[in-house]
Amino acid sequence: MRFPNLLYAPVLALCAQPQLPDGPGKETVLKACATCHEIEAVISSRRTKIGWQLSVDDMVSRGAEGSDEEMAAVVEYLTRNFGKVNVNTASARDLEKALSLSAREAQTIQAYREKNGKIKDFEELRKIPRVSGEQLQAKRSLIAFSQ
Amino acid sequence: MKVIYAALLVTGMAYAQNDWPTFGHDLAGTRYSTLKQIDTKNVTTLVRAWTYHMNAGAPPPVAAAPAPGSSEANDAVEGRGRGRGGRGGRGGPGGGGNNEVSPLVIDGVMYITTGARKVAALEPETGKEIWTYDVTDGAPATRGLDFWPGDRQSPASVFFGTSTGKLIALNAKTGKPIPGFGNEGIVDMKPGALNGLANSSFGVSSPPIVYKNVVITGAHVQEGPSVGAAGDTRAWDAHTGKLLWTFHSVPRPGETGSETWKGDDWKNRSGTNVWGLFTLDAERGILYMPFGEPTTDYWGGDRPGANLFGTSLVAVDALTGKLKWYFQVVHHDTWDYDLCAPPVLFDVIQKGKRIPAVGQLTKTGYVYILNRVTGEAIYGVEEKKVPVDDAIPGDPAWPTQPIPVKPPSLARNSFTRQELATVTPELNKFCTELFDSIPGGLHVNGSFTHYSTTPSVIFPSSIGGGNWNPPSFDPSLGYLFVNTMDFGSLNVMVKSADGTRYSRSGYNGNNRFWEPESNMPCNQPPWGRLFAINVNTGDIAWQTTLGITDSLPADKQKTGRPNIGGSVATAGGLVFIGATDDSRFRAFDSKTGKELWVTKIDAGAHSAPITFQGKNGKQYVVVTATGGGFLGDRSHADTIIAYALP
Repeated sequence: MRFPNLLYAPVLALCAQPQLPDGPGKETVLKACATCHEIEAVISSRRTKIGWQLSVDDMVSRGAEGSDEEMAAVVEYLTRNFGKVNVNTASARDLEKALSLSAREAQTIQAYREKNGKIKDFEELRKIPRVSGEQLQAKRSLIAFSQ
Repeated sequence: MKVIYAALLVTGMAYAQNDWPTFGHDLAGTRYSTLKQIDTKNVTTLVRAWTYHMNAGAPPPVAAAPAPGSSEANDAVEGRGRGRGGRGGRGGPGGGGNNEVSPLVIDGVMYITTGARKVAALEPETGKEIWTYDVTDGAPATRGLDFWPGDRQSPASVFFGTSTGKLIALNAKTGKPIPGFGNEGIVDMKPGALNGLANSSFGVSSPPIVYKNVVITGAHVQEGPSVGAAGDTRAWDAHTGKLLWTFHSVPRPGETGSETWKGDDWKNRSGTNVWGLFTLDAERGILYMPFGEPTTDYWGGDRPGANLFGTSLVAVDALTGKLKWYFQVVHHDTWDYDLCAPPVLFDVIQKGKRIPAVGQLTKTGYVYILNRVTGEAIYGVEEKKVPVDDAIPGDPAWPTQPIPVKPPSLARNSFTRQELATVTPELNKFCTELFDSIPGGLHVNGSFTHYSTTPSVIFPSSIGGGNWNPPSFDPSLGYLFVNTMDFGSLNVMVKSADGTRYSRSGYNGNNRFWEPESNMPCNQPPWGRLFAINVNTGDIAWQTTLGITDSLPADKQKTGRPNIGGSVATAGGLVFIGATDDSRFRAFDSKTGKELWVTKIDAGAHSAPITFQGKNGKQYVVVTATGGGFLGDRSHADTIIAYALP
C-alpha cells in the first residue's frame, strides 16, 4: 500500500527552506563546515553525540580547521539540533524529551534494558509492553541503538 | 617470467622487489609484489606479527559505546583492542583519528603518516618507532607519503602534504625537516591556489608522487560553495621546494577545454581536484591525474557545459605539466562522481601485441581501459543517451554519457521498487515504508537518475560504486582486481532561501539508501563485491561477494558489505583486501576468487594493504585499520597491523 506518511512531513518542511536553527555554535558550524560543504549536506543525516564526534574527527583528519573548543561547539550544536537518542544509554528524562514519551514510558524502557540488556533493534523496542509503538514509529528517525 | 619482466619495465622501478617503495608499490600503481613466501597453501596459517598503535601513550579515551560486531574478537586477539584513545591529541571518543595510510617500506625502514598528527619511521619487522615527527599545523595526509632517494645535494627524503596546505620534506634517516626545502623543510602551498580568497579551504589528503627530482601534488578543496581554492595539480623541485609547473584543472580562456565553460563560470571555480591518487609511466614520463568534479557537487546551474577537466582522467608530461590527452568520464557531473582511484598502468596483450594501457575505476562502477599513450578506449566507449527529464530547473542535464563497451558496470547503477531488500522481514518493512513514504514513491529513473526535488534514490551512491579504492594488477594473469559496492544515495535537492540555486539534503534524517541503525542497504544484495577483470579481453574473469553482515543468520551473512579501500596482489597467487565495514581482513585466490583466509581485525580497514620482505627474510602483509569514515562504520581503532607466517 502506498500512503503519504506524516512522519516525513517535518523533514520535507526543512527541505523547503534549509537553514540552521539559531543557537550557540551556529556561527562555528558555518565557519568550520560550510567552507567545504554546503550546509544542507552537513545536516543531511542525524547522528548521536558520539556519531557527530566521530564525524567531526573524520572531517578534521580530512582538513576541517578549528580549535578543540570550536570543534566541541560544533559537536554540541549538531547534536542539539540534528541529534539522535541512543535508547540503550540515554537517561529516562532524555528519552522522554527526545521521543515525546510520557515519563512512565521512558522509565519502562530504562527498566526493560536494565533487566534484559541491550535493546537490539527497532522491532525489539517496539515490542516493549506499555510503550506506545505508534509514538516510537513516529520518532524512528531520531532513535539509535549504538554509539 | 617474461610478463613480469615487462611489467617491471613499465613501472620503471629502481627499488628492490622486496620493498614497497611508493603508494602503489610502483609508479604504475600495480600494487603487485613478486613475493611468494605467503601463498595459497599456507595463507591460512598467517598470524599477527605486530600491532602499531598510532595513539600509544595518549590519555585514555572518553567512554564510547561498543562498536557493533567489531571489538570483542579483537580484544581476544590483542588483549587490548580498542581504546588507546584520544584521537590525534584532540580527545575524541576513542581510538585515534581515522587514517587510511598505505605504509612505505624502503631499505629496511617503514614510513607512515598517522591519525595522531605524526609522521613516523618504524622497524618493519616489529612496528617499533625509529623516529617520529609531530605535525603542529593541521594533520598529515591521511593516505600517506612518498619517498625520494636523494642525491649528492640532498639526503633521502619523505614528502607529505597536510590538511592545512603545507608540503613538508623530512630527512628519511632522522625525521628532521630538510633545511634547504622551502622554509626549513616546509612549503606553504596556499599561495597561488586560493584564487585570492584567503579563507577558502585548501589541504592535501593523499600522498604526492615523486618522479626524478619532481614532487607532484594534488589538492583537497571544497565541494561547495562554487567559488573557492583552485584544485590545480602542481609540481615542486625536490631539492628546493620551488614551484616548477601548474596544471590548471579548470582551463583558463585559450587553454584546451576552456570551450566547455561559458563566460566567466570558470573563474575561481573550486573542486576539480586530484584528491585521490596519481600514477606515472616512468618510461614515457607521463603523469596520470584522476580529477574530481567541479563545485558545487550536486548542482551545476551556474556552470552549464561539459566542465573539463571535471571528472576526467588527464595525462600530462610529468616534467612540464603539458597536456597530452584527456578523457571525461562524466559530462557535466552533478552526482559527485569524482575520479579518485589511482589509474593503474598495465599492458593489454592482444594477438601477441602489447598495448600500453591504463585502467580507471570510477564511482559509476565502470572501469575504463584506455591506451595510455593516446587516451583511446581499447574496448570501445559509446556515448549513450541518459535521462534528461528529471533534471532540476535551471540545470539542464547533459544528454549522453560515455559508457564502456567492456567491461560491464561493476556496481548496481539503477533501481526499481521491485528490488527492495527482502533480506529480513524487518528490513523489507522499513525500506518499503521509506520508499512509499511519498505519493508515487521515491524518485528513480534508471541509470544516471538525477538528484531531484522529489527525494531520490541514486545508484551508485555519491561514494560509489568504486571510490578511491586502489586496484591491484597481477601481470602473470592479466587480471585487474577491483572492489566496488552496490549502494545507493537517498537525497533531495532543495532550493536556497533566495531562490537562486539548489543544494543536496538528506531525507528523513538520512542520506544513504539503507536502514541507518543496522547499516543494511535497502536494495537486494550483493552490497559489496570483488572482481577480477581480464584486461586482455575486457571481460570479468571472476567475481565474489566481499564482506559479511554479522547481524544476519549464518546462512544469510554473505551479502557483501559496503567498502572503501584497496587491495594488493602477490606472486603467491593471492589478493589481500580489507576495505569492508565488517572489521575483517581477507585473502582471495587470485586465479579463482575463492576466499582463502579471513581474520577479525580491530576496526574496519578503509585503506590499502601492502606487503614486503623483512631483514629477517619473512614476508609481511600490513594493513591500517581505524574504522569510521564515510560508510558510517561504527568501529574505531588506531591500529596498523602486520601479519606473517608463524
